[in-house]
Parts: sequence; structure tokens; C-alpha cells
Amino acid sequence: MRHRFGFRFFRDHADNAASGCTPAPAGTPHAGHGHCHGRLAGAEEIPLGYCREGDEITIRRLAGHGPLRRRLLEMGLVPGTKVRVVKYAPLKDPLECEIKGYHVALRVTEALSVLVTFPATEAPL
Amino acid sequence: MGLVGNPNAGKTTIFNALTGARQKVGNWPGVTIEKKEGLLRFRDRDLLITDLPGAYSLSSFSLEETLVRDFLLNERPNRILQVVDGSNLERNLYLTVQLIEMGLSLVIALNMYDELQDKGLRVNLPLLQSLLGCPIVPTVGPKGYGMDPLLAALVEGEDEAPASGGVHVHYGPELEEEIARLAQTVSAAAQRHAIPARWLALRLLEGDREALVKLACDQPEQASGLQAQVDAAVQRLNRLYPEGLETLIADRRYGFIAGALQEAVTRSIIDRREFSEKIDRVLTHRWLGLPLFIAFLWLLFQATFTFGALPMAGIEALVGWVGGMLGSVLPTGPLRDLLVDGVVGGVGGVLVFLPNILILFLGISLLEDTGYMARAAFLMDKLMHAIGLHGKSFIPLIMGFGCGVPAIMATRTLESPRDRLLTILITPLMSCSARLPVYVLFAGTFFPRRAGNVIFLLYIFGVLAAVVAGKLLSLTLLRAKGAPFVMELPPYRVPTARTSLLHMWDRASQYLRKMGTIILAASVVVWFLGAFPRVDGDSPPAADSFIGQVGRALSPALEPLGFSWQMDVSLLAGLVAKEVVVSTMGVLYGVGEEAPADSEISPLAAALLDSGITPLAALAFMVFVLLYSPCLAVITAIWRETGSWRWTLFSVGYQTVLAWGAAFLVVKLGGWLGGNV
Ligand SMILES: Nc1nc2c(ncn2[C@@H]2O[C@H](COP(=O)(O)OP(=O)(O)O)[C@@H](O)[C@H]2O)c(=O)[nH]1
Repeated sequence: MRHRFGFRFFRDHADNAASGCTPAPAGTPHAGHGHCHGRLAGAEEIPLGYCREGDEITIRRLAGHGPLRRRLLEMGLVPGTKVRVVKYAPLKDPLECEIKGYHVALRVTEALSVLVTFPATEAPL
Repeated sequence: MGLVGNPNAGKTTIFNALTGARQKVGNWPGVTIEKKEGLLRFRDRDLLITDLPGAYSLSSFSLEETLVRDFLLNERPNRILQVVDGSNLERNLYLTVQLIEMGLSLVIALNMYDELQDKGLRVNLPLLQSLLGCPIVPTVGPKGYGMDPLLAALVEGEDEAPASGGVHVHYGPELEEEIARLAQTVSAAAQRHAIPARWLALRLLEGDREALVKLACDQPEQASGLQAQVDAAVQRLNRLYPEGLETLIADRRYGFIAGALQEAVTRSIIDRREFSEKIDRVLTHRWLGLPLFIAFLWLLFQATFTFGALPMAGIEALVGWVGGMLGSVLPTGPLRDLLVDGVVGGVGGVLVFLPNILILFLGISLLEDTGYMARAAFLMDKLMHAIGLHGKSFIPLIMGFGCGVPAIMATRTLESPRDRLLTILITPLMSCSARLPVYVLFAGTFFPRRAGNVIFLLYIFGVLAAVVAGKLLSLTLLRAKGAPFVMELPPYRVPTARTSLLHMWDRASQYLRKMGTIILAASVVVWFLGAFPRVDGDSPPAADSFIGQVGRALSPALEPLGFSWQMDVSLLAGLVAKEVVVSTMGVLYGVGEEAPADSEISPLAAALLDSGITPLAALAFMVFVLLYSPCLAVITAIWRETGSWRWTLFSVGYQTVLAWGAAFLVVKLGGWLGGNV
């Protein structure tokens, strides 16, 4: 089940990802290690939508334009903000994050436009 | 005076605590968003408080937020009360910053003060007040704590001019320079509208087209010059900030807030894995989350339609008793019939739903006040999104299996008007309980051995029709305008009985007021159509009444489906309420409704079998009943909730066309299969 989802997920969205990361063959966004996660890959920006449950990351920038971007900014997803991925919904779509001390749910496709890095690789903004 | 705040900050609770029962509920002009006003007296002053819709910001992202911004700009309330969720200060203060920038005279109710303290936060109030430049009063909504100081703060500063410009966010030298330059250009206009020039300049730089157009209307000769100036400034800034101006502005505002909080708030230990997250470990658990949600839904459904049905018999008896009383007191004649059958019957029709509505709304209030509603949307969003809907649409759709009226009223939990409309349009396709008697009669008569399966398939067919209709509508008429999902998951809270009951009563009383009058009027009209033209001063046989005549006139249209004229008239009568289809058929086929207990097959069923209706036509009829125009009560609900005759007519029209098409397909397909077997 998860496998299938993982493949579809990447087929659907890999093109949208701004960073050039290569999905690991068995990579689901939150099931396996070894895909484009920054821990191994250096100071790479990865989309929030690829992060796993429990990841604690920092927002670097927001891709895209329009109302989504504005709403994300207003809700406090500004660059430099720390985010914790709390969990994915049982059907794997919206994901729940904690930012600025509150919880917010985003659709995975929306979370793809939020680019984040892992703390170990954080560069000064 | 206006009351603003983020959703879930406790705005409703504070509004109720301040104004008690002295509220007036109406609609905002042109939109179906509720407008509540409350009047209260404090120190010999009358204060009129307008409750504004919940908003995260003022950049007119949603209908609600546009409404709030326009109210603030056009009505220019002399005082603004912002309810701030103290346990979520950073995000809530974003709105505060925008309000301050608008130069409004602001008072902050630092609500959820209890939760703030529980979190281990300590606020240096005087310092925070001077940093933000407005009075701050700690409050705890459900306990009514802090209301008097809050009113005092509201009244005290009322006569002073707003301290505009005193405190402002510094956006960095380059942006500040552009703001200052633009502010000078628009200063005259700003003065005329009594808004700070700095704010107006910032709006222009943020790309607020409306502001630009408004200014252009004021001074057409300057319009193009202003446009050019704004564009040039935006271009210069975008070159300096590749991240974009929006990011910069949001970033600086949050920076300002973080700075203020760092100075004025001390935190001891932060408990990160808080209470709510523990609950969510179960309630949105990977495996348990969905079954639990289904279980809650089942409970809500059972409570609404099973408990709700208990007082129904009593209400019906009461209505019958009143009708009987009137009938025996009044002389025979049209007036008596009008009162007994039309008015009392109509009132009964409204009251019968009341227990359902009360229980459903209590349930929904509990779901919302505890914070579970957001989780329900979180759980279901993936499925609902597939047909172009929001996670929260799931609950109204399920309620639709019970009755369309409360279901359509339950769509109020959806924030986006487009999602609401779409949900309202497809909810009537869920087979409501009033349609069941029709299925039972027809499936039982024509498919005696497979009745259960046939009925089950009808339900499934309704769901499929809803899915297809939803998908089609979202691809055509109601294309999503990129409305993002981004939804707050508020912490779980134990709701107080008072707030939940108030929320429930809020909605139920609206049902009575708005729906009641229309259903009543419609019942009288339908009664008239059924009781006239008089034959020897008495009601005509059903077939000769106006409704019967119309029904028979319709027969040619329904002929291809194989319906008898009795079926056509029943369908028309069924517009009042779907279960009326069965009773009308009883009358038209000249049998009593009640089946004698000893007979294996009811007289109506026997009459139907004798009448030469084919099983295929019976199936087509059930499909038609499933899909065709919603009943009067639901039509009324749709009209009230969408606030538009066009959408109401559309709903009636598309469903009737859909019903005809589907029934026709059944007949043709069935005939073809029958011919081939
Ligand atoms: N602990 C606590 N709960 C509150 C307070 N104010 C409101 N609530 C609860 O917060 C929830 C949301 O409140 P409501 O007034 O509906 O929020 P609104 O969305 O801003 O109108 C309800 O369950 C209230 O009982 C408060 O000061 N302290």
C-alpha cells in the first residue's frame, strides 16, 4: 500500500520540486530514509511535502505565487521559522505541522511549495 | 464598535459574555454571512458591538476577510476590540499589527489567559501595552473573567483620537523609503478617507488592486501616474528582494511580533508534546483515526435521527390534537380547511424537524467547540478533495442520509463559499430517510425477494451520483479558484455547557425563524393547490385538484419512463415532502394508507401490481424519486443558505434533469437487457 502510494506520489510531484533531488526507489515521503533528505545531502533545500513525521526543519523560502503563498506567509510560515512535522493524515494527505506554537494542516501539494532545510545543514539566512 | 479576531480565539464566547442575550442576528448585505450585533450598557453609555467574521489577516483573502476589511474601512468604528488567543500569541498578533497599521483605535482582549498561564508563560502587560500601543485586558471567555475591565478600557479611550503612527513595524530602509514616497503622493486621498497614508501606501505596494481602483476613481486624472509610480516602486523593490515583497512584509511583521514577545513574555518550561497532541495520537492515529471518526459520525447520526425521532410522535400527536380542536370548533368550510390542513399542518411540518435540528446542532457545536471538527476535515480531506471538496464537506453529506434540511444547514462549518455551494448542491443526492418509504413500497412490491439489495443499491447509486455531480460541477461551474487548504488545528478544549448550548440555540432559532416562515407559506400554497377548485364546496378528488391537473399535464414528459399519471401526480405532491409520494399514491389508487395487519401484501401494493406498472418502470420510478428535485423544506434551506434564487433553481433543475436521464437509462438499458436475455 505505502509503496504504491510512494511511487505515485513522486510521479505526480517530482517535477514540481524545485530542488533537484532524486527520489530513492522505495522512497515514500515518510516511510524510508535515503531519499533526498538533507541530513545526507548537505545544505539542500527540500520541499516540506517530502519530509517525514517527526522531522524538525527550518523554512528557507516559499516557491510559487498568489493566494497560497500569501496565506502561508500570514499563517506564519515565513523564512527562518522552525517547523516540526507532527504527522500525516491516515490517508497520507494533509500533513500536520507545528509552527510558532500552534498546529496547522497543509495538503501535501501545498507543502511542496515550502522549501526547508535540516538544522545540521542550516546556513545563516 | 467592531469585534474582530482569529478563528478559534474565543470571539463568540466573548461576544456572548459581553452582550448576553441582547443580540440581533442578520446577514451582511449581499452575502450569506451572519451579522450579529449586540447592545449593552456600561456606565450610562450604550455600546453597539458588531461581531465580525473570524479572520487571520486583512489582505482580503477570503470573503470573510474582505468583509472585515471593508467594515473597518467604510464604517470606521470608533473602537475595535480584538480577541487574541493568548495561547497562540505570535500568530494572533499578526492581525493586531495590521489593525494598528490601519490606524484603528484598538483594545485587545488577551483571551485564554488561563491557557497562557498553564503553558508557563508570563506576560508583562504594561510593557506589551506600550510596545503595541494599545490597552490589553486579560480575559477568560467562558468564565466571564475580565469583562468589566474590558468594558472600562473600551469606554475610556473612546473619545481620544486613535494613536495612529505611534507604533509601527520597520520594514527596512529601502521599503520604508518607497512607503514614504508613495505616502506623500496619496496623503490627500488618505486624509479624505481618514486612513493613514502609510497604510494606504503599503497596501498599494502589496498589490491591492481595489485600493488602486478606489483611488483612481477619486482622481481619474492622477490614476495612470499613480499606477506607474506603484509599478516602478514594486519593480525596484523586487530587484532588491528576490524573495518577493510579500515575504519581506510578512517577515518583518513577524519579526516585530517576535521582538515584542521576547521582551514582554517570559516562558518557563515549554511543554511541546502537549495535551492535544496526546489526544491526537489516538484520534488521528494512522489506523484508529478513521474508524473512530466513523464511530463518532455514527453516534451523531443515531442521536440525530433516532433520538430525534422519539419526540416526533409526540409533536405529531400534539399538532393533530390542535388540528382536531380547531376542526371541531370552527364551522366547516374553506377557512377551517385552511387553518387545519394548511396552517396547522405547515407548523407541524416545521416543528417535527426541531428535535432533529436541536440534537444535530448540539452535536456539531460540540464537534466544533472541542476542536474535533478540524480533525475530521484533516482525516477526510484526501477523499473529499478528489471530488473537488473540502474535508469538512463530509459531515453534511453524511447528514444528508438523514434529512437534507439539517445537512444543508451543517454546511455552515465550511469557510469557503465555493465549497459550501458545491456541498449544498450535491447533498440532496444522498438518499434521505423520507425517501425510504417509497423504496420500501416499490421494492417490496415489485422485487419482493430482492428488496434489501435493491434499496441498498439505490443508496449507493445516490452516493455515486453525488460524486459524479460534485466532480463535474467542480470542473465546470464551480472551478476551484486555487483556495488553499491551510487549516489551523486548534488545541482540544473542554467546551462549557453554556457555550455549546448557546451555539446550538443560535442555529436552531435561525432554523425556526427563517425556515419556519417559508415552509409555512409554502405549505399553505400547496394546500390550496390540493384543495381547489372546490367541488360542491368541498375538496375535489385528488386527480381533479390543481395539483392533480398539473401532474396529469406533466404525464407526456414522463411517458417515456413508463410512469402512470398517478405516479406523476404523486411525484409532484412529493415535492412537499418525499414521504407524501406514498400517501398520495394511496389516495390516487383509492386505497387507505394503512395495511391490514393480517394481509401479506398491502392493498396499495396489490393495487400497484394490478395497475400494470412493470418492474422496470418501478425501478425507474425509485431512481427518479432518489434523484429528482429536493423537497420544499430542502429547497427552502438551499435558498436560505445560498442566498440566491439562481442557485436554488439550478439545484432543482439539474437534479430533475439528472433524475429523468437516469430513469430513462434504466428503462432503456433494462429493456435492452430484457430483450437480449
Ligand atoms: N480555556 C479557555 N477556553 C476558551 C476561552 N475562550 C473561549 N474558549 C473556548 O474556545 C473554544 C472556541 O471559542 P469560540 O468562542 O467558539 O471561538 P471563535 O471561533 O473565535 O468564535 C470554545 O470551546 C470556548 O469554550 C478562554 O478564555 N479560556
